[in-house]
Amino acid sequence: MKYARLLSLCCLLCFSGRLLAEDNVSEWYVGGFITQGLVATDNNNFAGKSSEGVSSDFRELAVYATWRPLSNMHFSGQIMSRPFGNVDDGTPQIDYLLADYSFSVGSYNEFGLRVGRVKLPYGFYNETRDVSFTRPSIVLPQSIYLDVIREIQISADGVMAYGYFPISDLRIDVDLVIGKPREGDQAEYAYLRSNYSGSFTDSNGVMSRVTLGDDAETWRLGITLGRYDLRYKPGSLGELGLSQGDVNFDVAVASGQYNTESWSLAAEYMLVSVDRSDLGGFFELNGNNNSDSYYLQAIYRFNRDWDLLIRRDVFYLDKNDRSGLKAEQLTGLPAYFMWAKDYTIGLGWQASQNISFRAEWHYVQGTVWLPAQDNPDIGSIKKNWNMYLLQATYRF
Amino acid sequence: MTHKRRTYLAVFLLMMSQLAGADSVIVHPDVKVSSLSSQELRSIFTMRSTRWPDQNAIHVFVLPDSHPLHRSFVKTQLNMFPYQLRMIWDRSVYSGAGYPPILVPSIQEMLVRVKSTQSSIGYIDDNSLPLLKGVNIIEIR
Repeated sequence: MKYARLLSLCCLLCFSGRLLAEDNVSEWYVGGFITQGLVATDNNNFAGKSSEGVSSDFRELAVYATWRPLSNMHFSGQIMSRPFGNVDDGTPQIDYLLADYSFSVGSYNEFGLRVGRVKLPYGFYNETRDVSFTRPSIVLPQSIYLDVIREIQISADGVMAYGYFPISDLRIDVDLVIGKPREGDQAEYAYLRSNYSGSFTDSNGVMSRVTLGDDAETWRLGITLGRYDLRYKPGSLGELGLSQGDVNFDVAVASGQYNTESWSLAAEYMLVSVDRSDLGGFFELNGNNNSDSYYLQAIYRFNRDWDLLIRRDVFYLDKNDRSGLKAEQLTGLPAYFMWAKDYTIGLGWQASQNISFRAEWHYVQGTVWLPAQDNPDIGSIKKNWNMYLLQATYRF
Repeated sequence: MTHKRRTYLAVFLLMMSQLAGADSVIVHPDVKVSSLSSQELRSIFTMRSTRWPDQNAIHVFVLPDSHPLHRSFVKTQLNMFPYQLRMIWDRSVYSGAGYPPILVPSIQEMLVRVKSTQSSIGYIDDNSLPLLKGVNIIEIR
């Protein structure tokens, strides 16, 4: 009782102290956005039944709050709903929820720890890939930011260490996450090609990124290295003769960017190695897979409100079988299931501080990153297809 | 003729005011820093550095992205472009890594808020210099 009273008194003192010190500045930050996308395709489906008309099953809605009780500490969380065809039904998810503590290592440097659900540092865009005003296009380059495995790429429950160190006119940013990535049905589709009666029951992952750039961000170079282990538990149907085991997933990304007032040039290259041999059965002999993928992107800003984007985006599921012909012989599936080459042109308009629009055209050859969930009939998947998108965003 | 001359004078004065409109960085008087390197200034306005050397929380005030003073400040003092700054803030805010700067609609409001907020920093144009009272100017090295 005595202690409780003492504790409440301490709390009161702490809070009143904060309130007095902060005069007219609130240490609460709240905001969010809603983005609605429209998708139409001539062949194949992306984000809903886009080939049968216009699909509006592509929405992003998020609200965040951050509280900074001390100058070196904050708590932050964001809830997001992201309906995306049959890949995501839009059930609200905790996007991140974390406590951040930063240590003092000399003036104007930052080094700290985040604990909780943290965004994974991966390439240039991953942490805010669902935030339309931080990404260059409506659909990010699928070579690096695959929408079909977003769930497992987006965040992890664990610990993150981060640091930011100026060295003369250069700056180094270091991020390291150790934790449990979100496992789920999306990972099954991506790594086992279907949603079986079994499931991934556990996950462990490490993701690290080092970025070097000049202080004004005229240029940036980054390297991302990561490893995931996903534990698979077979279900009652025992599909493919799989037994319990780990799927290992190694990823490396090299990133580069150059910015001027009118131009932003960017390129990223990714190598992924997936090892499923531990599951035995179907994967006993062909459980290893090495993919590589890249994009080259140019953005031209006509003025501060209008921009034009041009991109080439290429993905090979098996870098030792870029044509896909070996896989075709082995599985009987068309060779173009093994790769995708996408030309993208996009136009952006910042209508006001809070409202923005984008329009985009993708001409795609190959179907490797088509969501299986939206294209259940393998026989109707076409090699060449066009995708047209519109997007409107309101931020508050 | 006089009318034309007057127009020239007006244009000349306008140009002068534009030239003289070099920007100054201002802080609340409790900030115990009198000068910053341009790198330190960038680090503060990109919201990467969040504390003064005495560990007090830095409160950053900015004008809207489209405000002429914001654009000139970002270009001349930070050697960056407003779109880059906006991108850095948004990436940080929407990943839980940090917080946004505090937006004020006008230069007058900037002065009022920096004056009344402890550990704060902002910027003004030199036309507002005569109005400065209750804030300190920071020298940029």
